[in-house]
Amino acid sequence: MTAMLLELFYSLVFPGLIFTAAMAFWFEHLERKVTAWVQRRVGPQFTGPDGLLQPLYDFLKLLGKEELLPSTIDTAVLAPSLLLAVTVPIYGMLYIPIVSTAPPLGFEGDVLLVLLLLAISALAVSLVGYAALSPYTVIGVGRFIAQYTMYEAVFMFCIAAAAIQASSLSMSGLISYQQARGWLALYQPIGFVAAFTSLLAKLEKKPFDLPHAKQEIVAGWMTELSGRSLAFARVYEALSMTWGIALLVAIYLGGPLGPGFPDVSPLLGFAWFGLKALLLSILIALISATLVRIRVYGLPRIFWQRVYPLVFLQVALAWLLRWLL
Amino acid sequence: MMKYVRAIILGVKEAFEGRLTEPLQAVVSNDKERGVPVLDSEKCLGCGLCARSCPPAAIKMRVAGKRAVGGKEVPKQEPSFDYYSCIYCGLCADVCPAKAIRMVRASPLDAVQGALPQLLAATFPPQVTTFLIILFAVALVYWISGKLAPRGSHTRASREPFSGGIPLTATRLRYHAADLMTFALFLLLAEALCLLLLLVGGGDLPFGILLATAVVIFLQGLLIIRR
Repeated sequence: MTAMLLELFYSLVFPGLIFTAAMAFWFEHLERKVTAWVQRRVGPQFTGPDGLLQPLYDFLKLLGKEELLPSTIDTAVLAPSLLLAVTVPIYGMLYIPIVSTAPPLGFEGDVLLVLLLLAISALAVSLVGYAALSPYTVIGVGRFIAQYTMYEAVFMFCIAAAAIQASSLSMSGLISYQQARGWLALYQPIGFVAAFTSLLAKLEKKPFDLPHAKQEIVAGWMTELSGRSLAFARVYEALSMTWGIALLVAIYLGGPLGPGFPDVSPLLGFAWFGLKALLLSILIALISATLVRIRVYGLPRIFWQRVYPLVFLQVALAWLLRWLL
Repeated sequence: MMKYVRAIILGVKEAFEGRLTEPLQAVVSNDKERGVPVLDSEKCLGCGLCARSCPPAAIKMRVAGKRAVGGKEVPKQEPSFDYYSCIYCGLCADVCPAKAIRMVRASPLDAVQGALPQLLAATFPPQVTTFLIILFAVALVYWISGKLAPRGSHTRASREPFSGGIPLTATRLRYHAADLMTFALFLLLAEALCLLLLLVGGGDLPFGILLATAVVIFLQGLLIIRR
């Protein structure tokens, strides 16, 4: 019985639904604020302290609106893939160590499960786009898949380099390696930068926002959505930003590790995790607010000419570090 | 006509004769029922005779704890009953050399009810249950908001997909399929290499396999580029 209650708590309250959604709305608010400051505006102001509850209000408002879907849409594909797209980042948070060195549901080899979840969320998004066929969704999903083939392999190689150096296939193994030797970002700065670049591409942030480029293809794969479907597609983006940032923090920045974490209080680990995630999200917001979108042909040029060689170099260096240290 | 009347009369006559079956409670209270097999794990030797004699193979031997044999600790096995497959014949109690299996007088329904939570707990690890719980909660929000949202009446034009004035034809909806496939092939090769890297890094595979596969994947990539 207690096991069942614990599972409910994990999935619905702490690293699960409520916590992830709160983090996601907070990051969205931060992003909107930072973007507004960069463009010399004030940003959201009225809902909650300094507009903190504005993303939540937007989500609830969209949920309450009428869903006007085109007659050609395939609802049997749309609804399950939307639900899957929203579920996967929340579920992925259960494999992130936040207040302790071991994630709540971690097992040996959960890094491979994280890679599988990344692929499933991309599949769900492309199915959402293909549920309604119109020129804009088709171009959006096509660009999304092309982008996916580039950033996904980079992200996988970065995780592989980290796992090779720590010689462990589990999140808790990565964290305990960093506890003994220091952050992996200090050993693998190239890998960290490459993983950050591919995270920008995964989240469709500004230099890589080709799949829903506003001025070119309306809203890309979200063009035909409205009402609750649009609310879910938007909250998917915020949730997957939270999950991606949490992954980077756990793999490269030591997760909850920091001065006085295991000795003084586990809540201190929570604070360290939040601080690192906050800095990363501000960095993402700054980059996406200042840079301009690259051209479609610039995408393979960046990833295959610049990022791939760096990543392979990083993997080779990770083998060396593993043998030397 | 006459045969139908005779059939009906026969049915009425049968309805007033004695029953051939009995209600379940009555069977449990009299001595005709054999009961439900229950294990006394203190007495069990772990010989596995019951599992071998079970006609529907409803008994599986599972490792439960240790026992000392000749001063050494060896894993001790115990039978576990699948009450859904059990036919309640009592053969396991008959063959048990230590009399560790008793046939307790109870209804099979009670045994099955006791087995249901065990069955649920045994089949789903927490990784699956948490996923299902989250999916259920998300789907609930989706469904409730769909029920609460207003529904207006609309013309047919408002339900057409947005195409910017371009007529919707199938040929327009083909987005560089061949190029996408090339990208997808590259991704597959890269991911295969990455999985191998992870397995080798985890210490499950020797290093030579990785090198050989890396060379093969590199040659495959060259072939794709040359096409």
